[in-house]
Amino acid sequence: MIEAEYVAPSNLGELFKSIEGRAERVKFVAGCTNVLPDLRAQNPAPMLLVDLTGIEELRRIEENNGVISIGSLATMTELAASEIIRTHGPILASAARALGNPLTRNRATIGGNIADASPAADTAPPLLALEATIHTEGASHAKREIPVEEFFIGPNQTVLNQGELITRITFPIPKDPSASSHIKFGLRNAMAISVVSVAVVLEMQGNLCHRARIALGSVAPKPIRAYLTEKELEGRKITEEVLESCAEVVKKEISPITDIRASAQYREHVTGVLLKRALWQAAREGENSTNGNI
Amino acid sequence: METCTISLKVNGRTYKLQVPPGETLLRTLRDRLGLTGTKEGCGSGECGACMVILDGKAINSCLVLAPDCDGAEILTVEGLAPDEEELHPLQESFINHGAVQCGFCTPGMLMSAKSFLDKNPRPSREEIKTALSGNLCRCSGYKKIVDAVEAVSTNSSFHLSQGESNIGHSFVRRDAIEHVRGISKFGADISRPGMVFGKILRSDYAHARIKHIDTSAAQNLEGVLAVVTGQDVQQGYFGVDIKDRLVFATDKVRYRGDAVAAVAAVTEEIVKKALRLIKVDYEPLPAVFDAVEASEPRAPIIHENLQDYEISFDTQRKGNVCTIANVKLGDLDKGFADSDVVLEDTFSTQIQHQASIEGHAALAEVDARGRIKVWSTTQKPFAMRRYLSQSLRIPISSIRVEATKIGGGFGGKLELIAEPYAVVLARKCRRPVKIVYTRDEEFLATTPRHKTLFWVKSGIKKDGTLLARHVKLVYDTGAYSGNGPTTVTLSCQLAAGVYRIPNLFIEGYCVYTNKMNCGSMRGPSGPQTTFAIESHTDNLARKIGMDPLDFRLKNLLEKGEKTGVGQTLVDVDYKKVVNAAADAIGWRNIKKQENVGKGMACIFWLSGGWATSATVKVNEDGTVSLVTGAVDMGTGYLYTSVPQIVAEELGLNAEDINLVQGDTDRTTYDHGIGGSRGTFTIGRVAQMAASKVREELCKEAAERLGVFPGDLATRDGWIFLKADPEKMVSFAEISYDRHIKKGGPIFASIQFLPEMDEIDPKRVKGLSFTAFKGNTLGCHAAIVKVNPDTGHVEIKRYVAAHDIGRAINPMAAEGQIEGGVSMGIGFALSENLLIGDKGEVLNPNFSDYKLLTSLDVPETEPVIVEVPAAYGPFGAKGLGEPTMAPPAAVIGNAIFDATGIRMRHTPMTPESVFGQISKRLRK
Ligand SMILES: Cc1cc2nc3c(=O)[nH]c(=O)nc-3n(C[C@H](O)[C@H](O)[C@H](O)COP(=O)(O)OP(=O)(O)OC[C@H]3O[C@@H](n4cnc5c(N)ncnc54)[C@H](O)[C@@H]3O)c2cc1C
Ligand code: FES
Ligand code: FES
Repeated sequence: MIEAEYVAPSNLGELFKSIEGRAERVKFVAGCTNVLPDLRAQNPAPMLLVDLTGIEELRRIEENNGVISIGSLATMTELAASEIIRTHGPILASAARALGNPLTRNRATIGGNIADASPAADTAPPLLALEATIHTEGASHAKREIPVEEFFIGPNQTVLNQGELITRITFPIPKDPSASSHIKFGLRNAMAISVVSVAVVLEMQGNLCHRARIALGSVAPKPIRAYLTEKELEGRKITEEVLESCAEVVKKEISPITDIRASAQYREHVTGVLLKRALWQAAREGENSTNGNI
Repeated sequence: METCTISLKVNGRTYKLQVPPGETLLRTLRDRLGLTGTKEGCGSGECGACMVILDGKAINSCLVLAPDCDGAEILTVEGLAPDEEELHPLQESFINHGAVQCGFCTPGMLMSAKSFLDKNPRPSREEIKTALSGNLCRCSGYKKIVDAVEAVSTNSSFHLSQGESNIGHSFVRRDAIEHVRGISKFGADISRPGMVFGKILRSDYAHARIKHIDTSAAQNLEGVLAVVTGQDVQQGYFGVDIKDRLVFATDKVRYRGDAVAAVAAVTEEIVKKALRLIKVDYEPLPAVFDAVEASEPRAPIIHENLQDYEISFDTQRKGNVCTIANVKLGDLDKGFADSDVVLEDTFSTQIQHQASIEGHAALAEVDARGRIKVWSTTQKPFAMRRYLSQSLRIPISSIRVEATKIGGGFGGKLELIAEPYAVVLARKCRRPVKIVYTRDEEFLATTPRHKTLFWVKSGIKKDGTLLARHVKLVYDTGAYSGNGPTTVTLSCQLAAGVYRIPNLFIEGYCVYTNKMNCGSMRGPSGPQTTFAIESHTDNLARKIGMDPLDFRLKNLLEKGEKTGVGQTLVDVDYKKVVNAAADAIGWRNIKKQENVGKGMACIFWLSGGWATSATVKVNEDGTVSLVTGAVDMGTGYLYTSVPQIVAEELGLNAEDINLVQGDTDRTTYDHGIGGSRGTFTIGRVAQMAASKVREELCKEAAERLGVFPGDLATRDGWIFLKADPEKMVSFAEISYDRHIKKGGPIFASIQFLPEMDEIDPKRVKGLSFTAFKGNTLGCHAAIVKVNPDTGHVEIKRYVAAHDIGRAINPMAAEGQIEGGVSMGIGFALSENLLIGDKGEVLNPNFSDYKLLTSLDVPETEPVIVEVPAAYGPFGAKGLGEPTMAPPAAVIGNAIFDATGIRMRHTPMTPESVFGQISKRLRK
């Protein structure tokens, strides 16, 4: 067990008041699905646990003038079920459905997922592809809006300051006609940390790709956008040949590692396979698919 | 430490509690409220055993802080049934569908299913599987669980097959009701007044000399009650065949996990703190992790005194090789010379862990006279008592071992694990001490399946006749021999396969390395040997362009023939089993499709013997108690087939049989459960005792009715005249009179040591045992699809045929087959305990030690074949173990059929399959 103090504020005002002057010891807890396993494994210094789950204002999922706003406490189950997300960010709903298992999804929050900043964080590639913005609030109410591309620094590292809270995440509804696709490849059909995951958002005119946003998980120290590959694709028709060249280009911008789940080489190969499939699916069907048996 | 005041409404009752901020809901429920129906399998969200419903949502209580639940409403398994009388429909359905095996995952499964059906009352089967995909079950293969949930959702009732006889119908488990209500007491659920907690300090080095241990700081920590090292206790060497191990390492540590010290304290937090305060000064030694390297002359020696260790059989020992076993027959050179085709193959397999969802637990208590009582999750209470006596030099008479409910054993709970540490700590601090292994300790320091290496060479004629075979097999037993020699012995027996081979040479080696001690996982040596031999068998068939089915049918041994070691086969029909599998999958009619293939593989197995005993006694009311020293590790034989056998023998209903089991004081001896001996051997001794009791009942009845005993029959607790069934007397009447009026109670106690079958002593050398009776065959077949882009293998169909002699309880038999296949597929495709270059376990958790989930296991189609064994009760044979041996070979053979690629290593992960595909493309 952890030596800790515990506060459970019921609104943001209370929250910032309760951590005043103690920001350096603050540990936010939302769904706890990262926090508790981490604390069990380590032997942490005494801390101030700030339980966010009572703050209702952090739960809302809403649409305002073409912008989707997701409270940081929204759980994977809620994201997967949300009509707004399924309509305007289906790749995010797909990623939420693919995270962990149903029990975890009932607790795991989107704020916790990105604050934890695992290179395999499942919601990160869709958020990158949707060009999301992370809204935060720190001590003395300093607010920031951080583009998600700038948010991650490395494995479990973000630009968040100690005691800085993610309040919500927003993204603009992709311009029509757009198509998107998300694929997660893991070593089991449930409870699998991804070996590679891919999310793409394409603006298409017929078979011509106007604009591409491609994001990848588990193939670099942090979730990344594949800018070079986007360039390769934009302005071209989606043909098998173009897909092949994208699969080649993407290899230049990833830096996968070998770990107990897969080797760098295999990850590189699978990135190409998934990317081709995701682009093909998006272009042809405008559909999403989660992992599945692949 | 600061605490929080919280109020919880659990199962309708409100509790006000003071809890520390970091306490999980799981701890609050179990430790503060005593609701032990909620289980801990991992403590980190990866198994679902701790699942409860929190404000309507299914969650893992190990990942929720108790303070976060202030004001919340919680439903646990104890609150699921409406009342004492009635069960929830899900509970009822789980019992009736055989969805409960060991019962450890059951509470979590039930709660998951309930919260899911509440929201989605008419789900598809796939949706049910998704909903349960966070709940791991190691026993069942999920099929019967999904059936049970589906039946509730469709409101369909389930009729168990009922018949005149107790034999051959799916009698439901007696103990299932305790499991579904969450009241079964597993190891960690037991507590005693004044109990404190113990934990073990383990080596950080794979191989090192211990120079000094300083425990003073730990001793002085407030709340610490005992600190023990090898210096403080009398120790004796122990081991299954070779006594090479001590409870506490004293001079050297031999793997990262070896016990160096143990601590007991009033809370688990203080124990952990105290362990960190113990300073051990090590001198690191060169370590070796690979069995082949360890066999080389210049390898670091792990046991300098190997030759001096006491050993129970005759074998050669050299360097790090602790057993050399041989099987030899005919003239190998001539056999190869006469062959038209000679083929060599190598194969290797990984470490697979039993990974029971319940970890090991032991609780020891010392009474005023110094007598020790141990509650343990052991499969072998009597052996446990003997091992404790040997290892701690305590007289057997001073120890009592009582087995708790076991949440899955699979051979992982056969050896001394937590027990001796609980005992030494309890003796030192004179308080009951409980030790519960964490999930990572399970993976670091228990006894998983051996990693192996096989080299196989066979010679055949052009028509497919097998002429010669030479096999070298190497078992990496880890730092201690444990069950290694026995496993190598078994592997040598299996390596000839199920075929007639006139010229044979099998060399088996058991080798020490600086890893955890490997042991007897379900079907020890079965999956490894079958993967090698049956993959090789397909290669032979393909080489001469023969259908692998025909190749097998041609070479299969027949009744009356001898196996490799010279055991004569009785009561078998191998062809019948192979044909049953082939027919079920439609082997000859499967159309060839791109990247889709079919495969099959066989395993023969024996039904374990060893000594046992049983008492059957008739109570005053005519009901019967069966008293046995055996335990049930979750397979259910003691709650299904054994009472069915006793009931059938007596002429009673199985419901009327009470069970007393697994306690060294209250029952007579049993060797311990394993080796597929449950139904075969315990069932047999129980049948013998029942038969004696019946005889006496009939004698008594004959006197009363004035007839001959031979004219009587028994049924439903009545004894009646065959010719005139109206003339009858009840068990109850006879038994009551015998208790109260004359002659004394009726009971019978029988002791039984099944004979081993004869083998040919000239053929074998260095084997640790000969051959058991009850030879049986399993044959599995599957259709798989390989994705050539990723290497992912999808199992489209899976058929498993087993000769079980006689299906005493068909539903229980299917459960064993489905569960065994699922474990075998885990071995084939995903499970792999990885060891790093310093000897550390790289994946000691359920997140990366990948058990298959409900979404991964295909729905196995069990096929039951009955070729009765004269020696088994009502013809039954053992079944538990062989079910998990074939899948790796089956899938490997199907991958070959689909792609032309031969997989030589398990697990066959997508990456390794893809690796082979791309290698071929490059060629
Ligand atoms: C069995 C299991 C399976 C899993 N599988 C997956 C998987 O497949 N894919 C995947 O991506 N993840 C997986 N995870 C990890 C985890 O569930 C997710 O990362 C989850 O989204 C974390 O959310 P949480 O609310 O539980 O975060 P918490 O554990 O409460 O917090 C995580 C971190 O974020 C910080 N934090 C939380 N909320 C905020 C906030 N609003 N502002 C600032 N910091 C905050 C916390 O201080 C902490 O450092 C799995 C976990 C488990 C236990
Ligand atoms: S104990 Fe909670 S998920 Fe395993
Ligand atoms: S019955 Fe599921 S783990 Fe044993």
